[in-house]
Amino acid sequence: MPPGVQAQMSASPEALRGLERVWRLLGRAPRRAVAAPDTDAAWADLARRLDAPEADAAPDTDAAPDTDAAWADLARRLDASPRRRADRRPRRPGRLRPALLAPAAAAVLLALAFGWWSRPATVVAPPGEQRIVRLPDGSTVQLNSASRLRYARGFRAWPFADAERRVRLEGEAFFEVAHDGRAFVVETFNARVEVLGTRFNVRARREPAGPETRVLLASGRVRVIDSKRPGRAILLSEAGQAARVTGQPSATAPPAPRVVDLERALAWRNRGFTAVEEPLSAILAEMERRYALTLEAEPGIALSDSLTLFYMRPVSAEEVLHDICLAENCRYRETSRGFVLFSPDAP
Amino acid sequence: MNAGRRKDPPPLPNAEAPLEDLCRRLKASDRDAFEAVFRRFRDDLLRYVSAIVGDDHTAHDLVQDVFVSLWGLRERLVPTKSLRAYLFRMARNRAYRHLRDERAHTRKRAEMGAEAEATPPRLHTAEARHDADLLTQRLHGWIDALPNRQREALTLSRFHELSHHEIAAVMEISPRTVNNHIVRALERLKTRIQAFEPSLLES
Repeated sequence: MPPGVQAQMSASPEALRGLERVWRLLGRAPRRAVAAPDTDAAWADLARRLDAPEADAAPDTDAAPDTDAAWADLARRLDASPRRRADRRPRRPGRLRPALLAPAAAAVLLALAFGWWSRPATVVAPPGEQRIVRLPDGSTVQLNSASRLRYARGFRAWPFADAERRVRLEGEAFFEVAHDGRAFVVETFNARVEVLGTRFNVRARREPAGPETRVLLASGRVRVIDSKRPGRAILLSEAGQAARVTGQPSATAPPAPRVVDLERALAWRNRGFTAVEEPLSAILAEMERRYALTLEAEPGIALSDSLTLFYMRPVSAEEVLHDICLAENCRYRETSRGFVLFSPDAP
Repeated sequence: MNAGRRKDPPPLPNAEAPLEDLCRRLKASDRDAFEAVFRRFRDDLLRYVSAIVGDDHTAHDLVQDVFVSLWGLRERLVPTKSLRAYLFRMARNRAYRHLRDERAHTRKRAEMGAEAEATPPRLHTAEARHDADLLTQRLHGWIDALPNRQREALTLSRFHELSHHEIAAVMEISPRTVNNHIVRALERLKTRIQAFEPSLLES
């Protein structure tokens, strides 16, 4: 409690005690979470902005690329020298030659370094929040709520230039891939999306009703491949084209791309909320992720009914529920962790 | 939250250095000191600005702007004055300027049905829902319902831990008035809490 408040209230200890309790109570209230890029990303962004007008002003920020370049150089040299020697004389088994010890130690070090390097980085957007990730190659990824992105942290500087840039996604994200000549690959639980430089949305949700990966192209070209049937690829080449991989063995030919309204499908990026002909169960699951709450439905609610909803601007869970109930002729009430939908006709 | 890179934060030996030293080094164009200041205040400012403008992404942009101008103004800093107060004041001015611009902007679009934006949403409706805890929700609601100046003084004092003098510098009023605002705000909240759940104030 600030001393000033205490001084002012010193005349009546009773009132002061009351205010002190309010003060303590406020301290127990959790702080509101803010959905914004994390501090590291924000700092990187800031450092770039400061350097932009006077590029030579900050030699200290060059530390990371320098290390990477030095490492690439070192790795090349370590790789090259023992191999040439091995070519010339075949190794005699059974004898440990001191001349080989140094390369062997170097190889072990290399393996350790590689192990560290290839340790994947993971970015998680918890329910109710979003994250913006800047990948080491300059690509950016906007992660929707309850989504996870993993990638090998070194994927920019690894010396093998033909290595593809590979990320693994659970959930939904919008990618803006920087063009650097290498393929960029998004892997989900059942599909692979291959691109060069482009912008697209991937949604990989394992809904009990129908686990599927949906890919939506905003610009450029991407190839969508069913992991179980690698021969089955769908090429998306026009903005608004969408493909889905459901893993169902029904059709023999890959389904033709559909064309969807980009702005609507990407409304989540502006904290809007849209669903096109989705079963109510899937809509409720998406709302749970988006708003970090628990939604229940009492018997009598038709969870398999298809609904279409468009909110292009930020919208609260309650507004969405209100409209769902209007369409489905149901009611909702608040619970400790969310809401429950019920039918007014039920006993 | 779990960004992989965050597991290995860059070494900043001065992260906990006294603010005055940091400010002095910042004034001398020390980039490490600047980064330490950024890392120390960024989250706090983000929450502060977000509560004013009601949008996290805008808040992020505004806070980045604040730090860019801080770097531009570094040579004019006065180390003996509170850097914290200075930053909050910059953030506050930036946020209110943004709201003013935004309002002017929405007025032009008013006939297109954009009136909803004209009143800055102080309370994040979606966000408020996240706090499953009903009490927390109510508390935030009551704080939002306080008169502007009272709410601002109380928030800076309680949630951003600024001293009365710092708040006075941020709000450009006297420390005495700051104190009055805070006492009034606490009294008002006490009345609300008593009406809602008197047991919370026992103990």
